[in-house]
Amino acid sequence: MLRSFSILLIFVFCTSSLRAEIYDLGGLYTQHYRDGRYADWGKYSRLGAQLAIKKINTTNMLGDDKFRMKMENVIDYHCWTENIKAMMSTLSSKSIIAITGAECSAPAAIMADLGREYGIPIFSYGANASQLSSAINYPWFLRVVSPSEYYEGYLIDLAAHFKIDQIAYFHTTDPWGIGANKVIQQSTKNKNIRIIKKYSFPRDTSQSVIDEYVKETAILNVKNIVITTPTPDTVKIFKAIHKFGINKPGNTLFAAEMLIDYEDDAAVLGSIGYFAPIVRLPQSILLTEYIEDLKNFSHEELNVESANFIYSALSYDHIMLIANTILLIKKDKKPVTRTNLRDYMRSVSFTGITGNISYSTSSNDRLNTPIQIMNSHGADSNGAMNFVKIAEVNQKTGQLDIDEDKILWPGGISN
Amino acid sequence: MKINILKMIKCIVIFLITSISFAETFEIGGLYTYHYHDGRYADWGDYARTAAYMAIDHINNKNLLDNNDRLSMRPENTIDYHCWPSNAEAMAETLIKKDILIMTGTDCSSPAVKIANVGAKYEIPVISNGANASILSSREKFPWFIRVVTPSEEYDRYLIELADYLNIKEMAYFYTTDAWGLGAKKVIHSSVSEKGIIIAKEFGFERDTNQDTINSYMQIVKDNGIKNIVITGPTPDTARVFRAIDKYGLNVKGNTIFATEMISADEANDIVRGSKGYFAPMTFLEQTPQLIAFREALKAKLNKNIDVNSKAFFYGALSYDHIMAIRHAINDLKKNNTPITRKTLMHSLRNVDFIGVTGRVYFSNYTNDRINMPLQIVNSHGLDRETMQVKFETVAILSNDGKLIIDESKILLPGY
Repeated sequence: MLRSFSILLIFVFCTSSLRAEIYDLGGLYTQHYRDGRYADWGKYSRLGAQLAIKKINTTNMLGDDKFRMKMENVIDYHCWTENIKAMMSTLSSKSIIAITGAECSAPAAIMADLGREYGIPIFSYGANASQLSSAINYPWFLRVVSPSEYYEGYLIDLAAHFKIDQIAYFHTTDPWGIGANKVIQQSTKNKNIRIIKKYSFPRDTSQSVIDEYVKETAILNVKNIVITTPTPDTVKIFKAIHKFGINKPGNTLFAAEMLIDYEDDAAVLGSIGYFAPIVRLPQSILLTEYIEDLKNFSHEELNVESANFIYSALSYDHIMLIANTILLIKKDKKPVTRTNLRDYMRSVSFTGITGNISYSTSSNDRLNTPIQIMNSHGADSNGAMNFVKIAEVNQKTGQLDIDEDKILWPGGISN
Repeated sequence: MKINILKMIKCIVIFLITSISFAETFEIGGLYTYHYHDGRYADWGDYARTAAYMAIDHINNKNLLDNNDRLSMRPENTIDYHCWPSNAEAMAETLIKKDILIMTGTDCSSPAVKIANVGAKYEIPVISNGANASILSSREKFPWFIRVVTPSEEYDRYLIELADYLNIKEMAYFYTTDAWGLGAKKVIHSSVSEKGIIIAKEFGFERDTNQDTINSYMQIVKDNGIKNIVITGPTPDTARVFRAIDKYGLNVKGNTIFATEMISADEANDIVRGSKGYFAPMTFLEQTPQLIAFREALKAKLNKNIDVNSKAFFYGALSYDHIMAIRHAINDLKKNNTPITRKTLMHSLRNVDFIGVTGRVYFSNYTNDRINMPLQIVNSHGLDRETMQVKFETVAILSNDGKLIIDESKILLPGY
């Protein structure tokens, strides 16, 4: 009897330990831009991802199975396209089930291509280039954000609301910038807004070239400027706007990216009163818990309106997306493989801390992402950016609900 | 009496205010490697960065800077430059715009050349824990650069001495065409000429040349029946050469292999097989109480066992000392009541002389190089089944007059 019981115990022990698996994740996250500028949003996105892994493991969300993301498998790719192929090849050759991070669109497009070549899923928390929408072109790619047209179109809606009829437009020529250009062209056409000057340039164009462009808009007395460029380029444009005295009453500024904390003074001054779209985080118990968890995890005070916080939340959810996909695979009693992750990832539907996350089968885009428009009120004495929500997209009508009382205009003018 | 007390309080307040105002925090900008540019994990870079942070903590916690001054290397000022030159200048320029006193790390020679140029342009000191290209020796060309290592010729020529000792008469030579590789090439050419060794085939190639090209070179070596191979390339390229050696079955009895770089402890199986029995030069670390204490502290910090003969450990120790050099340079300036500026620090660094965890650290009066650095030759014994990491054994050290003292009993040659 005792012998049978012992055998049973050994059997239970052995089989349960055999069943428990560790799923290794690879990471391509940005900590510094390729020119060495610190990307603090990158730090927060890694914190969000780590917190999600901790949560999944401590709550036994995957039963006995665990997630792991070793630091040696997390590469700082500097939000840049150079060497992505080699990095992807290195990570893919390891026993990891998916690659996470992939937040910058131009490198993400390369990763998404290589994801197919190497047969490994890529989960992005921030790459929102339009070209990445296609599940046919990028079947191994998925993101917890909507494509840029979903965001940037609202900037032009806001411009139309302010009765703006002409703009100068700056965009980069990377995949994201090209996608954004299409959106802005279409939206301005729909709203009868004329682009009287357009400046297209590669990422990381020099400050002196940008200065020349902005100087020209000053000479032409263009009062309204729309920018769809990555953050480092956006910063250069704002520096030039400050240099040529364009941040003044009567002018308006719109940009696709939110500036990060501790930015150069000239960029902060040049950007006062500008508008930027970003994901809105709906109030929920999950979000409140996340705020507390992240505070404890990071040992830092948090500004929940900041881009950093929003990126951390999106990053948290992109890890939860993988966990939820695994739950679906397990429910069907299938092995958790890279291929099954790809096959099941668009079938998930769960409530994350950034709201409901679900997909259509033909797209890589998150459905119905809540969007808000932020307005820069400058930076506080410690250098932290102060963004205030002045509009949000009504989920039912798709129109902007604008709170004009909160707007601070260029030149530091309130309504 | 009341007036005296008041005077005393006034004095104490003045003393406190002045002592507080003297306490400074010196910001460091770090350029370290955590991954190579192809995403391969560089364990030695991880050790180097960790050891740099350990040194800073040690200095601050033990008040090793006078007047309670502090060193600080913020995460935002510590960049993983992937041991790669293409963005190194831009990264260095971004760091320089910040209020930093000195740039540290810069462990790879090609990017270090670019960073040293930026240092010279903006007049900011750059101290390296590992860049050993010959070109960086020149104080005229790189007046704001210094390193806690000796130049590669000090290392590479001993490989040829060992080859000569082993009666080798001809060899194939692989080198990269970056700054470091070209410097090494000069040394190898000069050394083989001295010893009457023939370079039967020579292959110069860019860093990160693909595996297929390296394989085609190795095919030529095999076809020509060359039995001895010397490699002076950075680690990723060296690893590819070893992979090709394994592929073409050249790691066999009767062959010898020499390379200037130690491979990382967790290399791929074919690289480990291809490199078994090869020789590499490295800094010799004497088992001093300082080194033992450092090893234990690093072990605790990394929370893993440490092989003191691994490349990673050597780089960790050198990195610790390159931060300690800054500490000594600052204290020397303070002793002389000289204000701490980028310029005074550079001058002071050249004059430090202290016992670090890697031995005595002091510099040439004429170059940017550390002098009289003890060297050893290590020999790969392949994969250690217990730790599942590459095992290196010391097989030669240097005598006081610069001759190799070889312990043949410890040598494991290819194919054994």
